[in-house]
Amino acid sequence: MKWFRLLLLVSLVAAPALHNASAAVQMGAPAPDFTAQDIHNATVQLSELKGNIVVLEWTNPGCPFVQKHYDSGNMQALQKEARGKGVVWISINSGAEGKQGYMSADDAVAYTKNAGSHASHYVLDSDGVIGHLYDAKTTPDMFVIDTAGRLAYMGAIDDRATVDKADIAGARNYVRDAINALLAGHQPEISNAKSYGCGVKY
Amino acid sequence: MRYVPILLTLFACAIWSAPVRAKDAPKAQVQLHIASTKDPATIWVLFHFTIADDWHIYWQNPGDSGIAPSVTWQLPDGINAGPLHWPAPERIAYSGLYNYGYGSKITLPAPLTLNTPAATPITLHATLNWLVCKDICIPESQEVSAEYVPNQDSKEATQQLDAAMATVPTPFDGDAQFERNADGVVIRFAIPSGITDASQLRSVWWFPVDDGILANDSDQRWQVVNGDIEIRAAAGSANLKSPIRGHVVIERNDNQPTMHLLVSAENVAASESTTTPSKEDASAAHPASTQAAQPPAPDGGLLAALMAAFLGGIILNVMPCVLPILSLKALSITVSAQHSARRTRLDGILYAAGVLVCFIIVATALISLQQAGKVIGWGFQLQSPHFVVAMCYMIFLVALNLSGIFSLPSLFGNLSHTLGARGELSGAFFTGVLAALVATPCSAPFMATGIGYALGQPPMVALAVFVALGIGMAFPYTVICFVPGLRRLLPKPGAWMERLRQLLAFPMYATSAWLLWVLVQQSGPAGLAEALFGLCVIGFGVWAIPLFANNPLVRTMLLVVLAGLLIRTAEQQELAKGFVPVQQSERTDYFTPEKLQSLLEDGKPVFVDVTAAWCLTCKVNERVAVGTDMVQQAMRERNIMTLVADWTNRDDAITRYLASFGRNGVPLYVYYAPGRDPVVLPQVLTPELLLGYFNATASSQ
Repeated sequence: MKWFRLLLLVSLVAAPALHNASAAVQMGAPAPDFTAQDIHNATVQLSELKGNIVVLEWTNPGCPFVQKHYDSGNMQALQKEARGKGVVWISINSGAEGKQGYMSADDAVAYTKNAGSHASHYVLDSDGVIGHLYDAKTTPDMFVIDTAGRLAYMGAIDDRATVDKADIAGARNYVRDAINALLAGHQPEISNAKSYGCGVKY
Repeated sequence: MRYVPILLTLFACAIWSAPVRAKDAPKAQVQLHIASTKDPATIWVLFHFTIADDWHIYWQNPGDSGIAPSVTWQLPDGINAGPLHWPAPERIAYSGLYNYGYGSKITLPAPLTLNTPAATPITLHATLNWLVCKDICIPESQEVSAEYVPNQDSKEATQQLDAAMATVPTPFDGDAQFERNADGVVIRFAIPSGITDASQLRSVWWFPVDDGILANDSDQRWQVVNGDIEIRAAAGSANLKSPIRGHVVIERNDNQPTMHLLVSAENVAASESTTTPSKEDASAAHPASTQAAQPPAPDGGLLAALMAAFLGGIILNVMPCVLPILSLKALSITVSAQHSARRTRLDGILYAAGVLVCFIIVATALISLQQAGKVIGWGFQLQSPHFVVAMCYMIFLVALNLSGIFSLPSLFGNLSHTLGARGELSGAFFTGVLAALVATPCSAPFMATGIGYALGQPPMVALAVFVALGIGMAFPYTVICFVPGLRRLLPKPGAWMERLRQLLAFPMYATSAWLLWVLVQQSGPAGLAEALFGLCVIGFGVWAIPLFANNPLVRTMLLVVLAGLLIRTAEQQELAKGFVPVQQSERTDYFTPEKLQSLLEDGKPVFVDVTAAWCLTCKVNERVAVGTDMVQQAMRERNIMTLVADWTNRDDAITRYLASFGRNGVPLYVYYAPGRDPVVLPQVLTPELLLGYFNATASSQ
């Protein structure tokens, strides 16, 4: 009967992978699926991207916190570094029509080219559907999704909640840490940090 | 050149500094004033902000977005800066996001402490950084300075300080607790001194200093319950932390000034309070809660809980959940009774040991997971399809063994030649473990309250209760083993034993089938297919491995490969949404806290049935009581609404609902008669019992 006990031990050890059953956007839960057109009219569907690490970046060019990371080149550099590691980077602008940050697709094409964005896709979400799906509150607000489609990190881009570019160098970049952790095969050490920035202009 | 010194002197003499010119006019400006106090070692400084119309700056917790103002000091040696103090903020909404901040004019005081009282005037320099927003946000910055002249009391400055500090909260020295689950947050603290009656309170609001535990866009409802103020709001999305602080603003009805308190609330799961809530509700004007906020503690504390657990363990032996294992136990008794009395007693002890070890392991896992904040309950292991499939395989193997399809020596060769001596002994231990594992999901009477109480206690106490439960469960079998002369009472061994063994295989097959049924509801047809494949692998293994009786190497390799396949099928189980088939009709529906609340508000009688696919006791109750025509008819006549809560898989809302009645497992039956408190029904139902409850409450209306 010894191997019964072995199997028992195995089953106890292989036991509950604990699941958060409730809220839509929660650590470890599957990231809500969405389909959108990016500014170059390519279709982006999150569920098709399983197998890749995906980063969602809420952005608004008029917001001083976004400008901190774009004017300094920090966000673009992070995008380039991430894409070099196989990450799919989706910038999402949920600014409603008439509010700050709202752009037409043509303007957005020009903007991303000038800014030197290395995002895989730039999505205009002026109805705020994706923003509300993820409960995105600020710009920037970052979500890192693992290869199985589950949320691994959500929140601030780094740990210095200021508009000062000088704070970028010494800051701990949670997004970079999350991507590197996932590539190394484990969960990010910090999975949730309160995001900072201007409110999303729904 | 002569003018230069004069100009420089004029510059250096500046006491109030002018704002730094920005490209556009800044939306906010700040001035620095000094307010001396009687205390020569402390200087209070006041940052007066003037903000353009419709623009705002932020509170220490800005809310969903934004940044709080911050100050960087340039101070001479011997002066230390204290933190900014925050007057009461306003709630500012924009596009569905909520912030906390200040508009038009606000003064933020800060204390500076001096190591030695100053003798000569000191110039203080500071840089203020803030974010000012309307629909867009602009970060602004300003350098300010002021001269502090010692021993100069300015009445105006003191008045300004008093005015600024008027809405800065004072620390609240009472106890405060909070609980949070997916549905909401409840914060509780004693009515502050100075208020003698609940009617003196006009409004209560919690401004969260620690963000994210409450949702910022949530309405807050408050009421007075048993001498405590209770605030309820929707839950936020930040990770749970404890304690959480809030700036509580209490407006009065009695012409007294508004109170501002800094309350620090501890998470109830982390604290060790055992307060018993009463059902009194002192306030009639505010929305009442639909269920008791804390589980009732049993009277008599620990000793009573231990006794209750022990009794519950004994009763567990006759609950339907344990029936499948009864066959194994029956076999064990007949086998062990053949040996010496000493051996029988040893078997009895080993069985008890098996039960206890299993209970302790599961309880430890449950307690540590709960301590880590996971929302699970007793029986949680059956909520995991991995566990269910592993149990299914194991029981199938036991059944094949009982059927005589294979014998252990043929799988392990000479290793288990000693099985004759050790086999039955380890059999007793294993039987105990298996019995305990499968029995745990059942929530027997007496057991339920004991467990609910235990899980709210410190870990050692909780473990003690579970040990008592295990002892209770093992008690009857162990006692029988100690009966002298047992051998004489039972029939002599013979061919009948083999037949009995084969017969007892069938309850085990049935248990395997039942676990497959549970599995299909947890992980769907795909999961079932994997498990069925696994059973085929087992069948194959049981035939193939003995073929290599003389070749230990091949045998081991086969064993490893097949075990690997089995583990893979277990891993593939994905948790689909479990379901207990519920015919949604106008009188039956799935349970959600919101549905319950709205039915109760409509004054309808409600019967809540918390059940799970793997709970046999629940199924029996449904078959013999709830589902009978008599009871269904009565429910139709009285218009009783049935809400079925399916706890087959993890569901935080249902776990919390169970916890609110001091329960941690299923079944749980609660009946809400209109306008009355909920009544918890016994766990073993009969139709007469149910009708009794329905009639009793109906006739007194």
